[in-house]
Amino acid sequence: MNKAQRTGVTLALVISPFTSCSSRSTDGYILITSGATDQVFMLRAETGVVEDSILLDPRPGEVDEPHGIVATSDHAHWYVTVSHGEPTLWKFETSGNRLVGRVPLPMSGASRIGVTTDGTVAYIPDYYRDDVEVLGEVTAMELHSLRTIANKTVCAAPHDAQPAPNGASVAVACSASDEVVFLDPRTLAITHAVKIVGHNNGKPLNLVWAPDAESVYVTLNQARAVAQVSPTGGVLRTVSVGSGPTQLAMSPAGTLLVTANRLDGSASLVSTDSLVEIARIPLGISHPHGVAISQDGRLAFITYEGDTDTQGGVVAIDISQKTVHWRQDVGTYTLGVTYITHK
Amino acid sequence: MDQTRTGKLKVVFQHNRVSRTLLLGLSIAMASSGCFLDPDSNGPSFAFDAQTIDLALTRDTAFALSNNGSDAFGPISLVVTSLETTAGEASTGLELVVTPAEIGTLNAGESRTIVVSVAAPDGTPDNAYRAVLVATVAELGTVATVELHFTIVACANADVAAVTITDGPTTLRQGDVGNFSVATADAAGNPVSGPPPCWEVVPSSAGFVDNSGNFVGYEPGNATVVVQVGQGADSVDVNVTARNVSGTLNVVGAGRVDTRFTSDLWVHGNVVYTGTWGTRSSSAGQQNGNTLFVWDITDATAPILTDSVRIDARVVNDVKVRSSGDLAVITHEGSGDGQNGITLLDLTDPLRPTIITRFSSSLTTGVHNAWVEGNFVYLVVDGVSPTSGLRILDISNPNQPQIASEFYGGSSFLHDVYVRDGLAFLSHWNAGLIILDIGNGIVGGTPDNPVEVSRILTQGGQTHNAWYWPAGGYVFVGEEDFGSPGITHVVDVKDLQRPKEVATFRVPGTTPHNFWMDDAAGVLYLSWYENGIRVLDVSGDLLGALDQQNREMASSVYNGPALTRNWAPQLHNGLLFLSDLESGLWILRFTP
Repeated sequence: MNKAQRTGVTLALVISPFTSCSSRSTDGYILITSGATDQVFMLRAETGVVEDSILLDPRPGEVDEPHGIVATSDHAHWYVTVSHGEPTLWKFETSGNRLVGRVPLPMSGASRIGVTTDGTVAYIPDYYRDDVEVLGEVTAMELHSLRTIANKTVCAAPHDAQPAPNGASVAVACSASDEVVFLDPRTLAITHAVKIVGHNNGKPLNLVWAPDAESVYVTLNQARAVAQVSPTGGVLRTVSVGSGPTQLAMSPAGTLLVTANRLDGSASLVSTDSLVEIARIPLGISHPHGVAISQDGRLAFITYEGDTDTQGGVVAIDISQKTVHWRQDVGTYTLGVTYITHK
Repeated sequence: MDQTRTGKLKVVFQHNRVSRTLLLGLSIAMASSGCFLDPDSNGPSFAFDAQTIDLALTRDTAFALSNNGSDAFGPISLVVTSLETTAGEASTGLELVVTPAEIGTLNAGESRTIVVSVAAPDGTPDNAYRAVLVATVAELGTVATVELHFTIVACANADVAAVTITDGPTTLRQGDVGNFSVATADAAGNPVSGPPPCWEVVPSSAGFVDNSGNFVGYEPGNATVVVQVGQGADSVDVNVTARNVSGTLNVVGAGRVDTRFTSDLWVHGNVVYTGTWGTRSSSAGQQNGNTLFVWDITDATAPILTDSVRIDARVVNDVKVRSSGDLAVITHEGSGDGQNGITLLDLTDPLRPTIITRFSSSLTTGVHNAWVEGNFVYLVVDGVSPTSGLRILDISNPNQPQIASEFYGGSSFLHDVYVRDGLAFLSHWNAGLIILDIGNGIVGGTPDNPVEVSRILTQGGQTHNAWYWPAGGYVFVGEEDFGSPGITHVVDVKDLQRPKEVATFRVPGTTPHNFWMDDAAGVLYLSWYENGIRVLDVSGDLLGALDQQNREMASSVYNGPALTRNWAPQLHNGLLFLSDLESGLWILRFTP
């Protein structure tokens, strides 16, 4: 039952290592979740070489689907959700990728994880992916001892919950009600809600805060757009991106957004200053899903799910060159991604 | 807090007499062990905080587990082992409840409170008991143990001076069940009603007797059945004779699938349908569970793969064929379009199915298992939510299925559904086995309006699958637990509204999966992953540990110990068809 094992890395195949013109090198690693094989893989950020794999398989006879993954800002720990069956949150030490905790989550389907800047609290939405409107909860989990500190019904099918950099609020993307909801970080009481109008069935999916905590950027999955939303006002601006944007990430300097566009297999680079799509990069992959950016801001890592006939994997984009730096087929139904500076 | 590190188990006995209630406050004497993995203070170091605890008569007992090392660890499971009398005899029905059963994480230098209570059913014999509570971390193994002691006084009743066994067998075949009756009297010899008798078998390995005096013999030879009430006691010797059941399993044929994992199967006529599961890497590359394979078994010694159906899924976990043979349902999980649901197949040419329609409305989280009965399909919808659970689909018009009704049993996810005699048996994981009336009439349910008849949480939960045997009045319930490992539980449903667990069957090493039964013969076939296929004689009344009764007639790890992972059996035209996760389709013949 308590399996978190190293597994072979035979699933990893380097398909076509592209080389950028840049002579710089990005240190660190990325961690990705392979939903259909119940694994987490660790890859070198610069090369895409698979360095480690960890099996997260509480029920070996079932597909449990590791989904969301996030590292704390000091990169000392990383956390991963397992979505199916009875959802769980797993805690690992980055040093040695060692399992140090696991707890059941009071929800139907765990997707993303938002962790406070100080790494003490995680917010996990209860995402039940159905075509009927299901009110879902957000759970606040104290990460030192892995105890639930708050749990509250928020909105229909919340998919992502991210705390503001200053800890003042938690933004929630409510995918079935076309809202972005802001919560009190301690009580999870709703303090403000913004209806995304003008984008019928826009399906807010994932979000990222601006560094000044004055706004959040949210992907509108069915509207092919990203909206900038005020935590106290409404929708500030929107920008069109590729088809079916899922996750997005912000560069460390806060000047650039990268979206993974699931339906057209591309990535969009969006300037946060002008909120203009400055590039749309065809990735040649099936179903881009997750996004992370290296600490030096040079590389963006985009996972792809693959489809039911093909493997998933990761593509690294050289942001300044707007080119694919490497591609690695690894995992199946590859979903979440996070960057860590060391192992 | 005791931080003694002796490296040895220190045991302190403290027996006190306790009056029993149904749920006793724990009365424990505990001895904290020093099972440290590494005497070096920088290594893992865990300890329970007490060596002895005074008896608590009517309340739970709390103590702590501390992490005295320098690293965090978790999760830490807490499991009671070796619950027995201090004389070393087994105790049946007695249970220690540990809360929490698992500690998510325990950081360096921190402690976590653990609460233990005793659940003692009526009839638990008076005795001093001991148990060991074991704390385990997966990567380290056992990190700490504590020995628990308590004493129960139950059968004392000043009014009862004598008890006599008045009726019961003196010879009984191994595994068969006999009943003993008793009469109680006061000091003057007048009949008097006493508390429920306390029963015991001596030696405990010789058999089992329940609170009603039902006895089953385990080992051939002599067993002494002892009864105690108040000051009275009586006993009778029973000669347990050998059960003498046996059989052989021989491989007839196989249809190898080496490039995908194989899931469930269904056999109809001369055709077998096998599903596929998850992601497999092989010389053929990486293959997902997106395919249904179709096999012609006209010659069972040489199945021929005639066709395959590819769908948008990463798991085709289940396939079922309607008894009329004209239609099949296959399930989708992990579909690329996120819609999942089911696909209905037209079997006009059973060797070459054609797709009627894919239906996904309100099934988008995925469908794990299915059952077809007449014009209704019973579907297991993934999730732990009121909108997950059972969906009953009306397929009167297979081109346009309609949702007829839904049911969610709460608190855990639904894993499987089995339908028979107008009853649906839901394997609802930690919510237990739930019986629904969907046309039986017992509580007025219909497919449009299923009504719960009853539910039971078998010990250990993780209710994975069930098979109802109406003639015997039993449901066989699979507990899929890869850690314990899993157990097959036998639930008596002769009174469907009051199910009760009466027996278990265990095979060491791994966990059971799906079942099939030869009703007429009273033979149960159990798929048991790496333990292959097991054939169990379940005739007659069932009680106690079936694995101690020489009821297993045959078993086969048909593809060798390293490559066998049996998923599901189906008995068909005298042959046993098996799906195997690693190797596809197998056909065996069982000869009693």
